[in-house]
Amino acid sequence: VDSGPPSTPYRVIHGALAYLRTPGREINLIDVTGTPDAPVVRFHVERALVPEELAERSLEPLPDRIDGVARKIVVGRYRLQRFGPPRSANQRRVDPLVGGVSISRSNQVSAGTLGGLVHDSASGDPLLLSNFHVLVARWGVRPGTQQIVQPGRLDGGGLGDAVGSYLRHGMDDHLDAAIASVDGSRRLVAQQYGIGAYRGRTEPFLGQHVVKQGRSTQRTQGVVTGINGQAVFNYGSVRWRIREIVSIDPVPGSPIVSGPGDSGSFWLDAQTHTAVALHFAGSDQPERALAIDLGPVCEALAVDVPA
Amino acid sequence: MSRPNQPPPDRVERAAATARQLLGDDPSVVLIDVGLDQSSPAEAASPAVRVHIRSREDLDRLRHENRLPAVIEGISVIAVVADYRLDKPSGRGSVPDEGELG
Repeated sequence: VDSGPPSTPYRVIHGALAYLRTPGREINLIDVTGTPDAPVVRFHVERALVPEELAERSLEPLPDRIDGVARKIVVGRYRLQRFGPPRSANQRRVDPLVGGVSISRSNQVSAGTLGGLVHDSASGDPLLLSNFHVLVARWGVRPGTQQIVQPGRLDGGGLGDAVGSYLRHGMDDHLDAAIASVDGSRRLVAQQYGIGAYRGRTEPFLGQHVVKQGRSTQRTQGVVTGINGQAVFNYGSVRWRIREIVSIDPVPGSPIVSGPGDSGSFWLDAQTHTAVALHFAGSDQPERALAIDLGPVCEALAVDVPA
Repeated sequence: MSRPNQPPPDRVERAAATARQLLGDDPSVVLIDVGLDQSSPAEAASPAVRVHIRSREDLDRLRHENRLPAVIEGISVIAVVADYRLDKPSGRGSVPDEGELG
């Protein structure tokens, strides 16, 4: 039975589907708007690609008309609206960028914490510092090939929230740390969310009171109870020794010091707000945070904490 | 950190290095660091080598095998039962139903 030509919306959507499936176009949704007499097909994209990006990806610009229907491009990012606890402010997009907020690599649904701004020791360029297992996670990733997004993808971030790309890591020096370049899309300031400015770096010492802002457990305080530690952790299938570990216990009366998703946080001296260590691990029983002395981290990555 | 009547830091670090040589290959030893000996009053607390062991059973085994010295180079060795993991969802706290927390 000949049912006649398909209706305009159906025909347009059908014609546009080929673009939805094209790798590299970052199209999240295609729909039809306008009026029955003047329909418009809309491409909801992660972000509008500039001609140079299209050329790099060997893509042609989207045609002005699809099957004779006008085309429109809008930015639209969508996610399942799962029922869950409301997000904390530091799990949302922030501008300017500060330490203590949600961050992740772009190619995995995950979330860790942005430690904060550091500077390249040679060039002075601003950089983002967090953990290897937050910014990179996989062995053999080439610099510049992995984008970093804020907020992290687990908190709704997408390619439109990119702030930089992975640059180098400290795992060869047995330090779970990595830095990313910044793309200039947002300003970056040497502050910790909910704590304030941090300045310079100081060595950890036993009994030192420290404070951090983490993506998951927010602002917590602790006391340094161990220094010069070494331990082995699994990174993928590789067991890898981590050195220069600082153990941090909760301050008396506080039930929690850190949790999953806090990786990458800066621990600051509670009095001076100088940077002390980079959070990366922990335990529940006993409640304890593990961080890495920022001195060796800065040396290995050739970066400085803003003075 | 160093106070009068306390061991110099380099001796403490040497003791920690010796502990790593003795125990670092045992999979139940998850962390070796330098902390304070909390068994004495706080004002007299002195640096000690801390050996973090995964479970009470592993601690008993190491003691039974006589592999856990009480003192190295005059520095106290303290056993701590604890296990650690990267601050990812594997068993720590509440975890969303998908994805991974760094």
